[in-house]
Amino acid sequence: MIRHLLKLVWHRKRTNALLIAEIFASFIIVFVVVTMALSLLLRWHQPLGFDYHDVWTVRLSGIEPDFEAADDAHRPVVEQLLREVRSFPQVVDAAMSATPPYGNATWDSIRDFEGRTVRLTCDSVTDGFANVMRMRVLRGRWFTPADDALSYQPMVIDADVARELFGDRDPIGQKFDKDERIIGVVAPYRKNGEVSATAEHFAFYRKSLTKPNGPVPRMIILRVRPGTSPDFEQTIAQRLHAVSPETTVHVHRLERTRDGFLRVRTSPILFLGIVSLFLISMVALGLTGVLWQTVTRRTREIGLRRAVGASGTNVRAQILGEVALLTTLALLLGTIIVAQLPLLGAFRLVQPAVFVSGMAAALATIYAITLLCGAYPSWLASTVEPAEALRYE
Amino acid sequence: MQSYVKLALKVLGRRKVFTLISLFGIAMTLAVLVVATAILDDAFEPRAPQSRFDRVLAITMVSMIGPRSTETMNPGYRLIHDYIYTLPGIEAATAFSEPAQIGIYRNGGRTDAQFKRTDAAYWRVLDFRFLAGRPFTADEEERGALVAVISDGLRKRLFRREAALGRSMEIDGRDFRVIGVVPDVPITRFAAYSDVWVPHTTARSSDYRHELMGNYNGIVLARTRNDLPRLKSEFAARVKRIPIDDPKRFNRVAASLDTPFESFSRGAFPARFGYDAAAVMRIILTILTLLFMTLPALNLITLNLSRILERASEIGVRKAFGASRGALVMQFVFENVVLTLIGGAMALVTGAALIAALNRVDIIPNAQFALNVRVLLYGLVLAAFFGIFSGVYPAWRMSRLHAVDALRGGAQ
Amino acid sequence: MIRLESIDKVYRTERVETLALQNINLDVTDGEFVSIMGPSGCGKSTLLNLIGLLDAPSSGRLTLDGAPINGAGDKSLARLRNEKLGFVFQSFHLVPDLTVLDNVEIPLLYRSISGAERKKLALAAIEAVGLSSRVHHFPTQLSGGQQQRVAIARAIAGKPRILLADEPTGNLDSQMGEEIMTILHDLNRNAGTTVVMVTHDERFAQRTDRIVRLFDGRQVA
Repeated sequence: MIRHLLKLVWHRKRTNALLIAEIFASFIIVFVVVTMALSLLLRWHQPLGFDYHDVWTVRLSGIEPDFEAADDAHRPVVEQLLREVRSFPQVVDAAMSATPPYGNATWDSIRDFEGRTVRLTCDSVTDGFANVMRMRVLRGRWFTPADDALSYQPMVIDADVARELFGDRDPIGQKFDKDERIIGVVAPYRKNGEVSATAEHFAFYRKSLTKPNGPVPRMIILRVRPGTSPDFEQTIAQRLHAVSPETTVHVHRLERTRDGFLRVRTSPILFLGIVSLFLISMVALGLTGVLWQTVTRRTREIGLRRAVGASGTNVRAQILGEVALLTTLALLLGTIIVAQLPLLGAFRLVQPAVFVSGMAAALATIYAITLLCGAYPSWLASTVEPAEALRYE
Repeated sequence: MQSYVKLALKVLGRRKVFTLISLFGIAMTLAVLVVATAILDDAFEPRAPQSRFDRVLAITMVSMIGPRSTETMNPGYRLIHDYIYTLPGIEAATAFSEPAQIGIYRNGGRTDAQFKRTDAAYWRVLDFRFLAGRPFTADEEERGALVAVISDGLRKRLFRREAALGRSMEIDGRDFRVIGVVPDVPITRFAAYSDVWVPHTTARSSDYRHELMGNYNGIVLARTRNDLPRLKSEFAARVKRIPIDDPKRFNRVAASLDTPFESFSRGAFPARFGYDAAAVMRIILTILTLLFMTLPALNLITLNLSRILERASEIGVRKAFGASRGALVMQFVFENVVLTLIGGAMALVTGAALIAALNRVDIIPNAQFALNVRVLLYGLVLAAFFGIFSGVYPAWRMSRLHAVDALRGGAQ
Repeated sequence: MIRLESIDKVYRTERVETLALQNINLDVTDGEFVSIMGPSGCGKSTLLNLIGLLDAPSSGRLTLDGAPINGAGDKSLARLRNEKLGFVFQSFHLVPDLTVLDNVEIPLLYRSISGAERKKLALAAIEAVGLSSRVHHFPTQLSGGQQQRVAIARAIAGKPRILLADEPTGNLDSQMGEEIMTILHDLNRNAGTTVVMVTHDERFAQRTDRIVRLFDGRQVA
């Protein structure tokens, strides 16, 4: 029976070409949207590597560093401002960070290590950072003020980097690049939060505020005690202004920043999803109409089949079977095209598991939609009266 | 003509269910197109406060390029002040900071807002409609007066029903007095977008004045559109003369005055000054539009094709009675246009409802999509175009049938 | 084989009630070749449709091969049509997108037999009508007479007891018509198939065992 239907569909392929094209295009759209959504969903629930609750940021501006100088002219002021912030009883700890989480600033670095090229995302932070962010140190240690005396540049990497660079070897004490040496490993750190790639390959460099070491960050990141009143924002600002009247001070709560950041990153997908829904329903409507009309056109053939012994159920199954075959042709084409994407580097954007799941979900969705569209026309076909149909000359 | 219309309506009325399905399909397709047109129109059409933007050039990024590294940032105030303000023959030039999220304190409460530092010329380049009060003057800019213009949305959040003019609010530890209120600006208007504007001279530190690279944008308003190429090349010549602070790391400065579209394109791609970003952007947008339009177009063609194929025997009869191929094509195209126009009318109603819904949901903050005359016109033209386009091919296919085959019921 | 008792058929539209058949009584024995004749609109095709279980009588009893038909469900009717009946139509009703072989196989698709068995039966039927050389051709590549022969092959592929033919020679010229009648008579004599044929042609009708004449839905003479 399937071969028979295949022959029918194959010989009518020119008429069906447009339908196949539409189903194919719909599959591509559904695949893209579903894969993006799945990818996002998967990444959303991975651990962040830090805790953003009760964390505030203070942005200092108006005292920009000179990036070429060996010592930041405003380093003493920044050091004093940080000390002021840490002195508050409401503040658990505070540190500086060049590229804080949920922010637009990013520092990507491409380095050579043991003959390989390695991509790292980095941040330049002061000693209190791990405490503020409640980061877990897995091996070795975090930065301490005593590190000012080190002759090398200490580095803390996250577990993903450790695994990639050193495999099973112990990374502690290993040299990285130039005078950099690894002193600790932390749990995987995802700077962009829930929308980060599952492995950001993060590395932290130590910034000292007490000795010259280039430009220092201008963002204070601090942890307040739970239940701290919002009034405290102004209190901080007033104290900092008192210390340095020429510094512009803006206080933000990381939770609020996070909301805005995530919303910007997720609204394109949402928008795309809504548009796709619309397009697909449009296609579904068109498909129903075309199938309906096809059935009407084939009344005589249906009447004949009934005359030679097909029951109503047989006819219904035939129409749905033809729809399924048509869809299969379109999806075969779609799958072939989509399968080429990994060759173009698609696995750099999405994980293979997500890619495959997206494809499977899209296939299932398109089949479901086309069969749904065929439901009414196939029912219509089963109600054809053979006597009426065959009289139609 | 009238008989054609009557005939078309009668034919369509004969097969009500199928006509209805076709109609719905067409209406949905066109509704999608109408909404898309409204969104694009809002994004790109010159309109207050950026209605003069068909004759502006902007600078939004600067790169320092060296043999081993490139640093890209927004231009600093000094770059704009020294090299753009002084361009000959312009109507006005302004520098304004990148929008930043800040907290405004009032009566112990905090309100988040987008914040911009601008000069007095800003209000001459952009044409804000003031709901109350006025912009700050050159004198106030000179003095560093602590005055602010706020958006209507911010006014509601800060002052509820009370009048805003003359009231004060705390920004960065100092009290600013509200002197003007303007309508909300959607994020798509990059130069105008903000909730509160203050003179740049109110900054606590004057370091920004000396920066070549910083966090400002510059816009120059030309007298006429014809001046734009001249201004571009004049600025390009000046850029070559910008002294480089660190000649060991960098050996040239890349900066240019771009039209808003070029600026947007440049910002969209990572390699800022490597190639003609605007051209690439145009290609990408064209491809996207084609992709987006293909599905609706395919859908319409399929619907119309099946609708026409169904009437094979009718075609046979007409042909047998002497209808020429041209006449048949005309008849079907006509029917198609009638159907598409009715569907188009339905689409406009659906589209209007959808647009209202999108505005309510505030999917792009502050954007107000409108079904204005221009959008309506585009919509009608699109509908007619699709009507003709999606009807011609099927009608031509059909008319090629031999009368006998058609009478017998339509061979493939 | 076929028995009709007091068969009436009424067609009802919104406004009009048409009595297509009135008080038809007919007995067709096994192996008979019966013609049904009458002017246009007299109900010949309606009668054939009733015998062929394509339509149900408004009143009366219909018995097929000993089994009473009245009130039978869609599935059992379909099975009966598939196993016991074969149809040949005036306008052939071949599926243009399928080859001769695929067309002839159609009735066999609705039986639970294997693909190989199906093919064997179909090829045998095609050979019986003398078209073995055209097995993979499409209907549009065949003459009218050849197409009708394919239709007959399709009708007999499942080895039905009864063959119903509605104006089988109506669309053919006299020579092709002769060929078709020869095949029908061969089937009737050699395979013992009961044939009920509706025809306009007096010559062909005279060569059959019995002529049933209808006029305005009633049997005459």
